[in-house]
Amino acid sequence: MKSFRRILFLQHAILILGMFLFIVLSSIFSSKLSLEYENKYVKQISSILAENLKLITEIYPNRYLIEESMRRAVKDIPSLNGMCLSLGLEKYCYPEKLNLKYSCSGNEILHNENEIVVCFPVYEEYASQFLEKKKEGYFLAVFNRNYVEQVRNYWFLDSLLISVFFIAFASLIITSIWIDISVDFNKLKKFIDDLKKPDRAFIPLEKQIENFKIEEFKNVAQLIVKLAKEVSHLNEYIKELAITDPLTGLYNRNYLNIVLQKNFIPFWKREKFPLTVALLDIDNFKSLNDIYGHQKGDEVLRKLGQIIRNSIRESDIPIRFGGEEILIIFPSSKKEEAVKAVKRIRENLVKENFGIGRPVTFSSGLADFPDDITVPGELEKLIKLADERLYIAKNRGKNRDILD
Amino acid sequence: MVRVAILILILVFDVSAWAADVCIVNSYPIPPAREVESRVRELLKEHHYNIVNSNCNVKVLIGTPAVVKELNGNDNCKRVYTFVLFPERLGLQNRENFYGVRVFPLPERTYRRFLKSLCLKKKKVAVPISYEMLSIARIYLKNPYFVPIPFKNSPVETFRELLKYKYVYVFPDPKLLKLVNLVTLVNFCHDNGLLVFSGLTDLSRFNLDYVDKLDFEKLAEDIVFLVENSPKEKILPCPCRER
Repeated sequence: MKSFRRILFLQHAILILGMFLFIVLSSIFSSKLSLEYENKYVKQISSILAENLKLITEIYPNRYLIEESMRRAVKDIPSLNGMCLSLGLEKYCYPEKLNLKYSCSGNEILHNENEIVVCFPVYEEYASQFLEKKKEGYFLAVFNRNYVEQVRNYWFLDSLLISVFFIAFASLIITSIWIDISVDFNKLKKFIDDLKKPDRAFIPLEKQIENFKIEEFKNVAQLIVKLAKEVSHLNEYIKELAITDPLTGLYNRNYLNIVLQKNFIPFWKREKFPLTVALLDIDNFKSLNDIYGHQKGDEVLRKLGQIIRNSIRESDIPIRFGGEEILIIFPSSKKEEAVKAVKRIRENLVKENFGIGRPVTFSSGLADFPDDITVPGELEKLIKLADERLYIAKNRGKNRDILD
Repeated sequence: MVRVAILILILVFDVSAWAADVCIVNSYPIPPAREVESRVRELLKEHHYNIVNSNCNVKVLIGTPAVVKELNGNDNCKRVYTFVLFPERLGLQNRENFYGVRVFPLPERTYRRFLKSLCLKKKKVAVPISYEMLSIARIYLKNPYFVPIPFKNSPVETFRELLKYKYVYVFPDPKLLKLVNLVTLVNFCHDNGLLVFSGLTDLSRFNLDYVDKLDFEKLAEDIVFLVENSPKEKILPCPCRER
């Protein structure tokens, strides 16, 4: 896939090449056209002169009058060097040396070194077209080639300059358009680069949008921000879903395995603060499920999750550990302090009426650092101890907390 | 029934085989000649003639150069010509297989129409003519009413003589029909109360008092008539419209 800069460069190169070719081709074409016009010009001037002279010869065929007319025409037309009119046996030339210098055989335009010689036959003209025209003689006009070519060159240069001016003007407009697009495109690129950064914030990016000149680029940037925001929200939601238990609203074991192992335990090892682990298990939950159905069990779990969230500190970490087992990590708390929170949870749960004719209770086992383990970071060992103590609590008649 | 059908088929093939091949040679690149040529082509097609370029039974010749070329040729096919100003000068009236239509009316006929059109009395008609054309003009100006008045270079030479007459006929004389000469003559005649008339149809734009109007449609029809027939009168009169 080509980059925008490359496309821009290529298109500019093609444009410049095309314009160069256009100028070259138009120059060649203009040159040919100007030569054609030059021939037309000398031929038209010659035929007008021939017509006039022929008319004079018909009205008053006098040599001096004709030669005087020729002299005046040569004087009045700067590009004309001289001319000859031959009618029958009579031949009139101005200047007279032309008579010897040139001969005319047909309808032709000759380009000599310094002169252009136009030659064409002259026919008798009649008032009626029913009379056949007869060749009466010929007319020859000699033009100054340098002068004619000078006029032609001026015309050619004029047209070339005009075309170059227009092409330059067009190039300027196109280049300015491309520059505008390029500037906005670079802004968009920077905008996307900023968006890719992990620590990016949306508000400064939204301010950047105002800097775009072209409406379409602005719309694209706005769309990108909108999509990025939606993606970010979706990411947050997915992350939330990955570490949260949807029934209880507590963290799930993914949180324990990924987040705690990765971030929390190294921190605990470093800071060596006291930490208590409490493992809670709802008493007779299996029989509750069997008698009242899973919906009732789910209701109890949902309520328990709510009570736990409301009864512990912000820094405590509640996790749905198993089916009806809840793990609560109390950082910076010894088990004597943590058990208060556990008891508060029990009190609140017992108050709840689930419509089963008896209160729902739970048993718990607690273990802490530094009383139960000596090395911080051994969370699994603490959980195992808490589990053993939960087992003891169950065996001792349930609805109790075992700390030792 | 089958025999009749075969007979009809044979007849149809025979008829198509009899259709003559006609060549058209136009040596006169002027609009009226081209108009007549295209009309003749149309009419010949309508009459089921084959128009070919060579090996033809009849040649339609338009213009004097085409006729002159044919006069020098050995071909013996029938020739029908027009746009020849002076066929008598080429002796075409005596030539076998040459039939034509005049492109300008005989002076007598023009004179009759001129008198009738302007309700004039018959009087002598002055005809300025160059010495070069005098012999030819005499062939056409047999009527004693036409008086040729010759000139050498310009019709101006005849002006004094012209004043003795009331009518002036413009003969198709190249020298007389040079633009300056004709304009000078017409101006002189109008200035002196002389009436100018001619048989050349396209002189009407020069403000002559009477000019015959050539009927090109009829001219084309006459040519086709001559292709199909060989009348005793070998040169048909110029078809003119009545004014």
